[in-house]
Amino acid sequence: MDDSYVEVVTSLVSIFLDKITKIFKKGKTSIIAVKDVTLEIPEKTFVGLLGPSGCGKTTTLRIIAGLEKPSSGRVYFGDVDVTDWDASKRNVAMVFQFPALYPTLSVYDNIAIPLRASKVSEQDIRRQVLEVSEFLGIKDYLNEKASKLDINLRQKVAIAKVMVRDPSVFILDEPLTVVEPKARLELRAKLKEIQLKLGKSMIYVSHDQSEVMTLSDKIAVMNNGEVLQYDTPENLYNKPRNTFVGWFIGNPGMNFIDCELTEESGRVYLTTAEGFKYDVSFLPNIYDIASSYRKVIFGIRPEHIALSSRGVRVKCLHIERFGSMMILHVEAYGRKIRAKVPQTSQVKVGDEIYIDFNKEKIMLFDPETGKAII
Amino acid sequence: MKQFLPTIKLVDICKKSNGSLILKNINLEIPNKALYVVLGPPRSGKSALGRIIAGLDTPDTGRILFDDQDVTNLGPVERNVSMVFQDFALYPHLTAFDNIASPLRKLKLLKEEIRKRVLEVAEYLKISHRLTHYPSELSGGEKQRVAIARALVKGAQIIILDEPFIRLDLKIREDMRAELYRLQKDVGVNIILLSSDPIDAMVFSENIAFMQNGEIVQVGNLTELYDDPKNISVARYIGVIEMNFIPAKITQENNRKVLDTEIGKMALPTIPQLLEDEILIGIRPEHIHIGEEDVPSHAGNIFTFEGRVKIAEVIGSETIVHLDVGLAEPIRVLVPTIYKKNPGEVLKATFNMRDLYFFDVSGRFICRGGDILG
Repeated sequence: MDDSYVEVVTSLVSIFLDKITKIFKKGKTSIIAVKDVTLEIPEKTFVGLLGPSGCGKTTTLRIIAGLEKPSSGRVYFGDVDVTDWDASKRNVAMVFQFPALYPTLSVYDNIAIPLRASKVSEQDIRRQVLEVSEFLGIKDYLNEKASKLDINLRQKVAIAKVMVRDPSVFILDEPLTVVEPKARLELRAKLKEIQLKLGKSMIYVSHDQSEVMTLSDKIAVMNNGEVLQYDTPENLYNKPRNTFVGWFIGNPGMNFIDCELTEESGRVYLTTAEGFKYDVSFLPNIYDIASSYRKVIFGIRPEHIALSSRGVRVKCLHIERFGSMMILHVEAYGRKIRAKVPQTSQVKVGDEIYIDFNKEKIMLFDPETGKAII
Repeated sequence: MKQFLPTIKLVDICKKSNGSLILKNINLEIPNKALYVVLGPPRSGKSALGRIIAGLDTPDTGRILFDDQDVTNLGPVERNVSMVFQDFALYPHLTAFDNIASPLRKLKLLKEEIRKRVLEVAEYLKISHRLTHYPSELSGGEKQRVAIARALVKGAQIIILDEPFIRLDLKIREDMRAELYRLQKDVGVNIILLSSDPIDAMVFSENIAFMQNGEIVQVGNLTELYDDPKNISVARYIGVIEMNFIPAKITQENNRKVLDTEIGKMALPTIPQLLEDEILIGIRPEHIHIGEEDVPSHAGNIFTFEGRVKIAEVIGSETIVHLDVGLAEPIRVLVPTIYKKNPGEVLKATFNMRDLYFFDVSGRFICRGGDILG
């Protein structure tokens, strides 16, 4: 064990990814899995990496863990450049979708393995194993063989196993995807507790917004290998920086309508060729925006649309139920949009209704880049 | 396109597998030109039922009628039924055109005939412009259309989709469901959706059969199953978030009947005769309100309780707050906004007793709070 290793383990640790790019070569074609990602993960924070399948989140995680080397860019743990360090040296605790356990060993021995490897006394091992299994509610299974357990318990053992190691950082790759819903919730709460209790950073990868929004202090939303926004869950929801984040966050995501900004007798309207026309003169700096953008994407969340006695005339095509709300799929001038309104609203499929937008929640995006203008 | 879209009638269907009865006396009528959802937990018999409708399996007893024709002994091809399994498996190395053409190639049809039929069905499903593309270049909704086109081109009149969304990212499912609904409405084909995901009932709410343990428990539209569930299983399964259940006992206090529950006593003006001493009350997460929200009217019927936050689960635009009230399971509350709360915080919650569901100890539904409170 060299000195730098010891230092990293004890003083840990913030993580800094500096312009990370990862290119995989497959025959003659190369695929850019991660593209110029710069990310700072302060110590003691819970960070989520969120995005659809193939967005680069798992590759990013593997680069942090040292399981992949970046094609370019550097990885820092604290002030130490660990880019060329092996995974084992980084002391990163990893939990994967499918728990990795020794099937023929008992739960106790599975948890004790990392401790035995670092030459802890059997007495201390016993104390630690009991403590962690008490915490995770697996104390009754310590003598069972790992292969005898169901998936929920196995994942708990996998978590216990990495907890006793006193790692520098926890890395979790969709750890709850295969766990049953009830156990999933319990484990979510436990993971948050572990992170607060141990004061370690936790990096959590998922395609499920509810998983990361529940747990994370900050979330990096990724798509096509890039980090599109790195922010608090509230800001991702309230101030998405581009259309992808607006769509990905929210349940269902934001509606978008390609519009033109049209000035007419001193007022500014959102218009479409099909006849949609909505006065947005009240938006801050709209006259400046209208002079630099002719085309914009109008974005509004379903829950920020209300039924009204006037406004935009639409036709209701489909109604979904969501708790005490309903999601109306409506057609407005050839565009399909979703509106989330109280269940008590009197609307039927086929009805012609009027909707209006919450003025404070209207967003405009640049159609060229997808980036938010306001 | 020529269409013969039959109504399906299942009469007294039983089926054994490995010695146990997996379908128990199924009687069901599936209307034509509809999207019909068979919903139930895993291993409830949905797939077995689907296979029998498709003609992939024959029932031990009972008959299957398409309109009035007995098809019990006909195979899938003669019945014109096509069963599509998880995630719309397309051949990745074939274009959309060749994927759709694949069943016709097996029939050794002339090239021109194949071309004519593929173009016709593609036109019908509005994917003509995507035929030269490979599956990896298609959106989720387009893949779905190609898979359905492949079933239709063979002349299938009934398409059975077995858990089509289960392996897809949650965000993709959102759009796929809306697409499927529209597609079915546009072309009027018979679609039977076998699903274990309650969200499918929220989206395709018109025709639902709920299955459990090889039996059809209840048939109806979403409102019927949601407001008037036959028993606790239906009540638990039909909903965005699972219903909360609280054991209760009817007692007498100062000449008034009182509902004594683990979270407090509720005074009810009248208690119907049919209510037993020991009952279970159910309250949906969306009917409970927390703190800052407006308390709904009918203040006289409002019940207030306190709970300690176990975890606040942000699911996108909403939050599920799990409140520990000393019961075996926490009480779930659906808050319609992003509502970040730390574990341990004590919150006040309220619900209107009109929204309660009453069940007897065997789990049979008795009535709603509103039925008693008037």
